[in-house]
Amino acid sequence: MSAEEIERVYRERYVGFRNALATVTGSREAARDAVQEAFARALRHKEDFRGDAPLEAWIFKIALRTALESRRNGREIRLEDAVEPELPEPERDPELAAALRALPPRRRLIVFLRYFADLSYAEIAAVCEISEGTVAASLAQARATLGEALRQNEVTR
Amino acid sequence: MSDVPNDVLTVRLAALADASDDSDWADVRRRAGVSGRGRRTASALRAVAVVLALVILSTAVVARVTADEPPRTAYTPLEFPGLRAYPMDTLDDVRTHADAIVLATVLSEAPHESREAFYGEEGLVGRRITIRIDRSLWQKENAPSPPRTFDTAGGSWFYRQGVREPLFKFGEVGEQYVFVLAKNTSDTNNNSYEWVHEGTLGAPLIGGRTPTDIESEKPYFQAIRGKTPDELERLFDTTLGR
Repeated sequence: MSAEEIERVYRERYVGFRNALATVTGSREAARDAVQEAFARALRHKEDFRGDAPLEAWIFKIALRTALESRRNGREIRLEDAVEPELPEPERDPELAAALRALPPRRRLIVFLRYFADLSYAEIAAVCEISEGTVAASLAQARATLGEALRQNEVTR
Repeated sequence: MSDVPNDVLTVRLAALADASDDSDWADVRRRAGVSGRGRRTASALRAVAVVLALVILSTAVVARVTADEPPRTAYTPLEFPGLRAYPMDTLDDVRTHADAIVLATVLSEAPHESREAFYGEEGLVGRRITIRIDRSLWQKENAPSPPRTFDTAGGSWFYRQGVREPLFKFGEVGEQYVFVLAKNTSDTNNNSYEWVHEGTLGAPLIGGRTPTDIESEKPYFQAIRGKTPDELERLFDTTLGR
């Protein structure tokens, strides 16, 4: 794994990674710091990338872990620990924020990985350590649930 | 996102995404110590992070239980995939991050309860192993002593439609390993181990010695190759100090 490839991912994915991580850190600034630190770690440990998952997923996983570490003051973090992603600015769309909050946390994370980080199904699968089929099913269920919630709000408004 | 319908949901989510770009690759390079300047600072920060966080390095020295397995001609170090948060490539890394190095036998294995519950029978499931310490090879002065028997992380299993396969071989039951350990100084909970390993490296012990044909150029493996537990103990004592 070369530094140039990591730099390519950085330049292509920085904004998406930061936006997705903001749902975990709760702030854009903390998310930015996590992304910066994650790519720095990726550079330092690039020889550890084994090529058994997409590079984007490997780096995002580092970023997610970094974000969780910062949230927990450096204590050990496991990705399977409860990740409770939230829209960083729910007041911008309270209805959608409420609908998202009603989703199970892991499904919510998959939504953010797809829509904010723009990760592919394969990349999400690698990040969450699930199959692509599970990613597809989770997204389909999330879309259905969110769509229904938003439609109900339209009706009752 | 071509497969995502351009529906209301997509539009509303996209509207919440912050399109501003405040990326700074030079800052990434500085943090990584690539630029030269700031390398010492980055190293110092990493050392502080190590104090705050869990550090476990494990080096495996294996005595094969089954004699009918064909002999291996070269040995690739075992490493946990994914992030290694701490450098674990040299004896100096061990001196910095480890609390103890022990010779231990893997007694049993089991799925990590929380992961099993979370993932069900799909994808990766954490694996825990129970190990018994047979001999202490090194311990840092004033460092905590690991218990005689304890659970620790043992890699992962991959479940696909209910069929379980190891993601990679590590910590096989009945085998003996050298574990380089450090204690988790953070609060423990049901999802963490008091003594676990991250960035695990391993090399088998054949006929009472580490193999001489380990496929790794990392200084740590070069230092331990071909040594018996007695020789390892002397090596650690003279090079790591207490």
